[in-house]
Amino acid sequence: MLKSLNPLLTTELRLGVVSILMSVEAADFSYLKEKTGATSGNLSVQIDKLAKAEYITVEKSFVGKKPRTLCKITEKGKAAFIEYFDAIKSYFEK
Amino acid sequence: MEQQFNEKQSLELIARMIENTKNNLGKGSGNILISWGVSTLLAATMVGICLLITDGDPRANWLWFLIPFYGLTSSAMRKKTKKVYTHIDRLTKSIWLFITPITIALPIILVAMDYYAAGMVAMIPFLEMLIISIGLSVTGIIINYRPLIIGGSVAVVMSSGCLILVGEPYLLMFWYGVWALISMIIPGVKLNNYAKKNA
Repeated sequence: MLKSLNPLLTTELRLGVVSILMSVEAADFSYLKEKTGATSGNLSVQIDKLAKAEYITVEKSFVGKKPRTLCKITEKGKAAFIEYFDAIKSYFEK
Repeated sequence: MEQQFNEKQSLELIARMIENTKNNLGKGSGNILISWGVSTLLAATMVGICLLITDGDPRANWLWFLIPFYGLTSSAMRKKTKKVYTHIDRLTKSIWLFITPITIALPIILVAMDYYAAGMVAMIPFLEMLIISIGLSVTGIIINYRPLIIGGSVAVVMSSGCLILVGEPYLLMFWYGVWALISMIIPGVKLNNYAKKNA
């Protein structure tokens, strides 16, 4: 039987953000924006959703006068990504 | 309405995003090597000049502590502007968090030990150069950057020169300058060029 896909990760931007955070220790907002090609507003909304689901942690600080948002994946986020990846794999193994 | 992804698109996106982060040598990656190298070069020059002015007063060697002072300050400032931390960053950071305190504490310990066993102080240049050179080689291996592996390996060999140059303080300072150039400044400049090309 095919596994169902986690709806939180079936959108391009959220999956993109989680994929990036799976391969690095931490990334700031501008890095994620650059790599995903998303607009600031959209990225901000999707980051909030991932943070609310506890898939990522968001650390806000200031460097001089500039705000800085640093994102990290959590253990829950890692588990969700692995589960999502396994589910995708099951579609191809069929 | 959010665009839902199918499994094929998901897989392609995951692959693309991971590939995007793979070669993460951002612009200015070599700056840390250059700043530590230049500070070593400057400290060697300053110690050499002070030895010359003071007719070989060994207290001139305290100026070496300007290296960690400058290096740690500039590293802390750089950390705040970094956009992404990779697993490799964490690994190299761990190595240098281990090595840096040793290189700071070692001369102090050896100076103290010199009261009991004369000749310990003479080992400082050799041990410092050796430990840092090994750290640089290992860093080169971890980031998979050949010029740093070569520079670090040459530097390991160069450290034995310090034993030959004991009693020749001016030549030793010159040797330290050449070592900083080969092990840190040149690989750092090359790394910056490489990162710029691959950005």
